[in-house]
Amino acid sequence: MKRYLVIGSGVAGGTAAGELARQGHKVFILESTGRIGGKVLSYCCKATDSCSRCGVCVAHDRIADALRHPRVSVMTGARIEKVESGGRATIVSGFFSNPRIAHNICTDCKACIEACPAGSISRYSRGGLTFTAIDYTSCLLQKGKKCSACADACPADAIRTAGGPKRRFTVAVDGVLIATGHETFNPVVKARLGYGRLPGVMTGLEAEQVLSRQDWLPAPVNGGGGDSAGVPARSVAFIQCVGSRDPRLKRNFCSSVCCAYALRMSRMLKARNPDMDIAVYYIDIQNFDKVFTPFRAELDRMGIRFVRGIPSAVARTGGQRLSLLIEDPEGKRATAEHDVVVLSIGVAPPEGAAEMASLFGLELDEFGFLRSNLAGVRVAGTCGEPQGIIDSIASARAAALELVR
Amino acid sequence: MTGIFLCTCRRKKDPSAWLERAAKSLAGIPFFPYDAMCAPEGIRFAAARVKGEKLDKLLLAGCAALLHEGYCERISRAAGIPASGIDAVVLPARASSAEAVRIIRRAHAALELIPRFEIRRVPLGQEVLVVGDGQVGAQTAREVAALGYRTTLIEKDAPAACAAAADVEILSPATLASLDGRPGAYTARLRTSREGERQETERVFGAVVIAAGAPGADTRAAPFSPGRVIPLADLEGSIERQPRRDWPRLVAIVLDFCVDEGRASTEAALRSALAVRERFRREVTVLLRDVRVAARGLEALYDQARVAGVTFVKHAGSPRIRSSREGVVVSCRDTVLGEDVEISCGLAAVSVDGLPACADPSLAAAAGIDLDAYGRLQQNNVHLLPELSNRQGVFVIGACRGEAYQPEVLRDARDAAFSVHALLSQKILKVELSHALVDGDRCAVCLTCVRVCPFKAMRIDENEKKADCIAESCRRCGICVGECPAKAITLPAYADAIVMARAGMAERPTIGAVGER
Repeated sequence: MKRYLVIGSGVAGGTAAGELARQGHKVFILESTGRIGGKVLSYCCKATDSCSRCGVCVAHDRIADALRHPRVSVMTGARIEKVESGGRATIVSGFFSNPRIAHNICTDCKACIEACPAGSISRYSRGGLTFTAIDYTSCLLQKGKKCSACADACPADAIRTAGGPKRRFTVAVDGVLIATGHETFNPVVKARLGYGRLPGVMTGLEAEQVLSRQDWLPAPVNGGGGDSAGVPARSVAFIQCVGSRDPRLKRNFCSSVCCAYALRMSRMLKARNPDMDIAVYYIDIQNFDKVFTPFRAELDRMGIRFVRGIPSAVARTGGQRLSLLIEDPEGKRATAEHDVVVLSIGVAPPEGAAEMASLFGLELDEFGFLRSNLAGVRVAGTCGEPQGIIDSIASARAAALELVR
Repeated sequence: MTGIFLCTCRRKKDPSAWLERAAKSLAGIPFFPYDAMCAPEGIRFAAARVKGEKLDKLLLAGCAALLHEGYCERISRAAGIPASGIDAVVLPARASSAEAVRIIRRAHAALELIPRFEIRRVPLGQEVLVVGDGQVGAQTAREVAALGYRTTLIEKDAPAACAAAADVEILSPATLASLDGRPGAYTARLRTSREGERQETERVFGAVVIAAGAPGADTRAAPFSPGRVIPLADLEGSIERQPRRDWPRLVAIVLDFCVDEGRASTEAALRSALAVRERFRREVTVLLRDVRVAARGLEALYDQARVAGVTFVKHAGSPRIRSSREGVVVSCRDTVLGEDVEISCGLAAVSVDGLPACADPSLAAAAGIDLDAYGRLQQNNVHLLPELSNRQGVFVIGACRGEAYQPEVLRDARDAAFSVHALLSQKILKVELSHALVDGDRCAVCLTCVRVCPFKAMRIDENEKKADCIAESCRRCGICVGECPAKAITLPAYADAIVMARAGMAERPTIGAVGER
């Protein structure tokens, strides 16, 4: 039996942890927040009457697999402070936050949620994944108060507070997998697209969150909007490559995932609201499925409009609508009106990538993604390169192979 | 005997009278109330009662915590009862004792009917077969051999060109004729030919990895014509051999001729275009639907090609290619300009990946792997991506599956090696014998089940003259049960009587009385 450290509890980290544990190894997962699962938990299922193969459910199963395993320990609210080499082992030390939930013992009885005086404990449940999360920013123990209400209430003895709010740890492990995920591009930088300024302009991530609750996107009403209280948008534009393939932002790389999520989301919206006008503004569509041509043909048949070229600006019309300024290669200008504009924002390196690189002695590529040439340290998922859910799973398993052999 | 464990933790308000009534109605059934079944003490309590009262099944009743999979696993281990002998029901928080008893009785009746399944322990063979000796197959064979498995690599063309590790056995020319059996012990019939003599050998493998490479396309048929319209791969060869004076003024490279191509062809096209442009100073036009740059370094390569003066035409639908006096004319709809364009060139290179693809159908049939809508190996199913197939223990990677981009296929090779290791390193596969059962008296050997089973778990038992299910391959999906015209197949854990009992139908005299109120 070997011991491994997995940094990050998202798709890639969860997959690797579950696989390594299943092969008889002991795995520690470090998660910087109080909520495991990473970004994939806020993505919506994009099926219509048929599956669109987005992989969100697969990711949930993978993370659930890791959490339930008796040989996986999850340390939340964690931070690494020092990494040393100890012969063949890597010695990692830092701290994690209490209260800590032993997810493989938790029986989901909700007693801790009822007991918490600050309302810091919440429950996530979707598909095969159910777990309890702690918000350390509002937790009384973290604020220096003496509180162990959740631990006292837990009948399964799954919540621990021993060692105070920040408990120090040192582990010697045979291998480290870094899977800290990614940040999304902040579209405020591209001011002319109106994000944060014009109601009705939202990011792809925000659209995912809305669509995981309801079937439609809200159009701005009376200057408001952005919440689900609005009226359903009848015309939606997806603008691709926001913050991707853009040399002026020093981001001249493709984010790999935006065509996939935008096209799948547009298919879902159109299937549920056949009268809706949907336009996708793009440079090049990146094919993302094993059988892509029929998928793309289906979107054409459904009446989703593909417009080559990225609008240069979004403005508010006299009514409640948004006007997109489109310039063709010859400089001719045209406008198109929509109720809602979804910006397909790209993938950026994770926060703390530089810190992670210096702790472990890794390289950063020209865009800030992590790379490892060290035998005992592997990089998987989006912190190494922008990639989708299935590729993140595959990269995590390939990295796990390199660690065990 | 089934014991009922009732959790009373949610019944804070004097449960004794309630419990007394419940116990009275359940007289004759071992009944154990406890105030915290989900706690470790509750699990110990259940384990002790199981031992003391010689119980062989457990019914848990209480809150939703008892439904949790992890909890079921723990209590199963502690009490020594397989998961199929444990069931849990949720009692509504304010259920009357009569209501609770009704819910418990139904689940109890169903659980009593569930047979006690044997667990079969099957040894997993430690030999691995890799099909295909291309870069992907060789890489997989090396990875698998390095993990300590005896690895055999077969290649249909002779001689094998691969540089697999020394501890990999290589057979070539050899093909896979059939693959039968179960995960952990697949019987492969290998067809080899030695000195013109065809031989067939049977070998047993624990797992199989198929990396047969891209299917060969017919490069003599349209749109190809020798010297004028050539495969893109041949253009790469010409760049190395052909002197500058033999290059025409304009070279066209056509991608996405029929179907959308991936990053592998894009990279090849960009590299060839750059080479022709920079080495021979010729005009190059690349015609494609979209530039596929979704991988590290490809966007930079695309920028480099544009800076070097390569022209890109983004077409819609399929381009038309015809011969002309000077050479070749490629015409298409330019979606950037929004008009039809014609390009006259001396040489056109067309990527074969954009032609309607088709995997080796004999390999698919021999290996029992489904085909996708393009005719390549393995249906498009997100749960089976990127290397899993419809048969457990058989993995498919590389161009035969539809992914040819090199960094990706090398990753998939490691991924497949990991899957092989994850399966075979268990050494023993524990299989609960709750698979589909075929009634020999009813089975008409019509082959319906063999045809509909997505997992190749059904076969014909020649001795018994009936269909038979392989327990290790069966995933208890019930498709064969539903499709069998003779109603000869049952899933024992979902027999009619059990389903009826669970739905509360067993208490009723006639089947007609459906519905509660």
